Amino acid sequence: MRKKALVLLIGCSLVISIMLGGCTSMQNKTVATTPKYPDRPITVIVPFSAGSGLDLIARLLEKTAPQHLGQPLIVVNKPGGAGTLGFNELVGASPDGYTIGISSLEVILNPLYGSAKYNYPTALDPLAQVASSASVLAVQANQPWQDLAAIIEYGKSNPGKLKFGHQGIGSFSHIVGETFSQTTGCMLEQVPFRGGGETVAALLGGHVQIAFVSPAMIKEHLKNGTIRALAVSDSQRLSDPVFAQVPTLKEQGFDVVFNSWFGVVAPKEMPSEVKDKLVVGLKAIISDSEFKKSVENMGYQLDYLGAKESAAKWQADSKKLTKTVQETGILDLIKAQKQ
Amino acid sequence: MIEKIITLLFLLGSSLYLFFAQHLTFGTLGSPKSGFLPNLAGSAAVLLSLVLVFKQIRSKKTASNEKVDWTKFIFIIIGFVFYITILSNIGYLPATFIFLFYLLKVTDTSGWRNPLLIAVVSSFMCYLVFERYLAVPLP
Amino acid sequence: MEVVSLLLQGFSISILPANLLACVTGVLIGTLVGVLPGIDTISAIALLLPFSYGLESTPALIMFAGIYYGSKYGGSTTSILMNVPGEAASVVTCLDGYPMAQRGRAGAALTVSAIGSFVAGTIGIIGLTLLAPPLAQAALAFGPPEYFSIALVGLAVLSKLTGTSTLKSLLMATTGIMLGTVGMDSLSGISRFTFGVDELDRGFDLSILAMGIFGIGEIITVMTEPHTRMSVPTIRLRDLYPTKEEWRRSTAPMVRGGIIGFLVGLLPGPAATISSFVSYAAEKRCSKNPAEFGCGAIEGVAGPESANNAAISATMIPLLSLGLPFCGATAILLSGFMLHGIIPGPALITQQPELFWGLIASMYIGNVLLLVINLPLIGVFVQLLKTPFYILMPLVAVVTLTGAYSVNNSVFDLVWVIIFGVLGFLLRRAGFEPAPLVIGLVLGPELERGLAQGLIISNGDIWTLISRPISATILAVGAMIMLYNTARWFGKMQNNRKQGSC
Repeated sequence: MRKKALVLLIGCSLVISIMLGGCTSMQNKTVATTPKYPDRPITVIVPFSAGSGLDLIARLLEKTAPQHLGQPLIVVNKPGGAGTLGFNELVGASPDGYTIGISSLEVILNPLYGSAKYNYPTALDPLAQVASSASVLAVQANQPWQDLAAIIEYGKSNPGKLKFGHQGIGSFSHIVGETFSQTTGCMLEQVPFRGGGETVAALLGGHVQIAFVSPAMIKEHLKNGTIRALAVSDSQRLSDPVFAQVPTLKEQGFDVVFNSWFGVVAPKEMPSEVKDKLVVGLKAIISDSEFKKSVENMGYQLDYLGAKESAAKWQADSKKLTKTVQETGILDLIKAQKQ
Repeated sequence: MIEKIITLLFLLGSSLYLFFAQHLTFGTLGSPKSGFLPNLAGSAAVLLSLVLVFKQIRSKKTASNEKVDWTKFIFIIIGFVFYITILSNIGYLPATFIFLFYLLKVTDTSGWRNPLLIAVVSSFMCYLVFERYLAVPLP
Repeated sequence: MEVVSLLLQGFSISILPANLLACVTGVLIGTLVGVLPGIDTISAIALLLPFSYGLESTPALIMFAGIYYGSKYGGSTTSILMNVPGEAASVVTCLDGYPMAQRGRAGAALTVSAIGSFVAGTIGIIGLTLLAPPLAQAALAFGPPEYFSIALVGLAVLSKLTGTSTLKSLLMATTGIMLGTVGMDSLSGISRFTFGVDELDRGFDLSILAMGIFGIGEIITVMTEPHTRMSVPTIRLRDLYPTKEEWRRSTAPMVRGGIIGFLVGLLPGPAATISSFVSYAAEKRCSKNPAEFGCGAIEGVAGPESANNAAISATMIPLLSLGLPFCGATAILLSGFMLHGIIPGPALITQQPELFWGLIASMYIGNVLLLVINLPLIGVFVQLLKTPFYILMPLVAVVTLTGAYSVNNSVFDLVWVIIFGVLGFLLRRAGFEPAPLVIGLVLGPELERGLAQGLIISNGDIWTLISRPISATILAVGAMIMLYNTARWFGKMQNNRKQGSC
């Protein structure tokens, strides 16, 4: 009898709390502008799993945050759906400046493929861009192609024979590879892999002939002579001395210029003083020389852009990529998977 | 008894899965698309569960004969659901405390003082270990 | 031999106080991570990365490596004592470890597990020391077609590991495959079976599934028994350690497990989990009394536990020799390396020998440390068993749930843990063994990936897939095992021998 009463009590509290929980989330987001922002730790949502490049950048930010922002950052990983989950959470968060997140090119890409709930470029507000990374066209060193022209020639005369590895359908490397294939006319076949590591492993094992990967993954192999890099997709040559000899696709006459970037974003409609404080603080953190060194150790290039410039870049990238995914047929490829 | 229910559930589940897998393109053997494996796996599952259902209808044997305290089962489930619901609302420490206390009572721990004590100490320790030492952000 | 002198140099580096301290810290944290269900190596290392900035690169890496292999020592503890796997690689240990604990042989199981881990860990490290470059090259020769064959053979052979009904196990494995297809998958670029629920895009995490079905399932099972189960009666001292008989039976599995684990560990993906399953299957095959498996055969604890430790050393090979991470944990290690400005690769061994050999030497030391730490702890853990179940189970439930939350910071995951828990409970009562589900979940995606990638590489020609040398060998071996199994099954039908329960 007592047990039943207890359960009844708990059942009632359950119902009440569910109702309360439902009510609070339906309230309009009122923003209380505290004069002294920030006065609590700030949460950074990382839409990727712990240990990924983005995650590490966030943790690097975390390291110097207390000096420049006045409060520590708390990194929370919310992986899933190539970033969709984390971005969704960010869009729904209250724009009081205590929740920010890390953004990447996927912010633009995901809505294009129809897999996102919101249109992120309009639903989120960029605060800063931190770093960027390009894609490198790599081949095994024991292959006969010494430069880009040789491989394009081979590809044209043997259509479908050359396979290139990338990190997932619809991913940055896929876009670069496919655009390259179409612009040069050498008709490469794409093979998706689960990440840079797998792609390079397949390249080294001779299972694919070309790989589009980030520079960090092949730096050591380039130094060691097991891999040869034929081109890079950035607008200018990489600053890393190991890659100084690698020409860009642009200078070889192909208009294939892409780079993948990472930045910090916040939900829209933050009060402007809060936003300004964040932008200034982030700029200070990113300009810190130790931060720069760590980012470069990771294989990325420090590429700071302020809030306005970031937003402009988003618009430009969005336009460009919308066109690209259609032209390369990637959009159709993805749509063809569903009936 | 429960064996047959479970097998029927499998049949139902795999048929549903197979149904939804029809939305995905199957592709060809030379170029499988996203529907390839789901269709194969779904069909295999439907087949297997059908065979199992038939086998079980024919035989009279039941699998397990231990008795189960179904009331406790319901209580435990309610407890879990409750815990998950209030976790994000009132935070880890209070939610865990209430949950622990509830579970301890469900498992017939005698008296009120002991469960209370255990619940307090343990939820605190869990909080310490996870939040402080391992730096896991808890709600 | 040059290797020996390099190794000695490495030892001299690894006993420097800073490095030694880092090693101790690493293995301690690793053990804790392994014992607690839910917290996995990846999260632990990721969380500690920022703290490591203050350290020099060598101690930092030694610490991370320590966490990595330390966690495989602790994972078996909860598996044996409470049938709740500490992590996915310890699922197999539950199968025979828990029945042993129920018969009062928990201490023996734990000891065998610790010693087996040590033996295999050492075998693995020796393999790493001597064979790293050639093995790395060999690992590269495995491409998508080979992974496809391995996944196919694995599914066919390993699904029938446990339980009495082949049909049921096959059904569970197929369900595992189906569960594995849920989510967004980079192979196709779309989300499957998510019904618009964003959280499902991530798919089902292996650890969430394992913790739910095995952990919560077990907890519900125990908590719903009509009469409150008493804890295991007083443990006598000699129950803490294995008998001579048990020692004799465990030595071969330990070595076998070490070798199997080391070889399987070279594969990409959750190699430690797969290696534990393979070892279990191998032990069952080599045993004179296969019917005992599932009821407390000590080989079933010695083999898999050794295998998953050896696998760890093997996963370090592609990382250190080629700079390529083949699984999540090595990816984090790679990030850790890069953060400190070290990029592992072919040049690491020659250009930074102090780091490489220091790391290897510290792994030896770490293994010894772990043995020293874990053995006395066995007594402590077995005492824990004396806690009445009705107090223990709620505690374990809470720890499991918290751990599950920490995997992805998602309350949604917790919902699934509960659902899987209820399912696990119901499945056990209906006679379905949950272990094949794990196999299906792990190998299903591998199968699909291997097939899709392989077919693109071979231009749609499936015959090429099957006839590549390595691929063909694997398939042939698999076919032979299947034929053998079928023959035995026929033989059993003839003799009408029943595989009874314990």
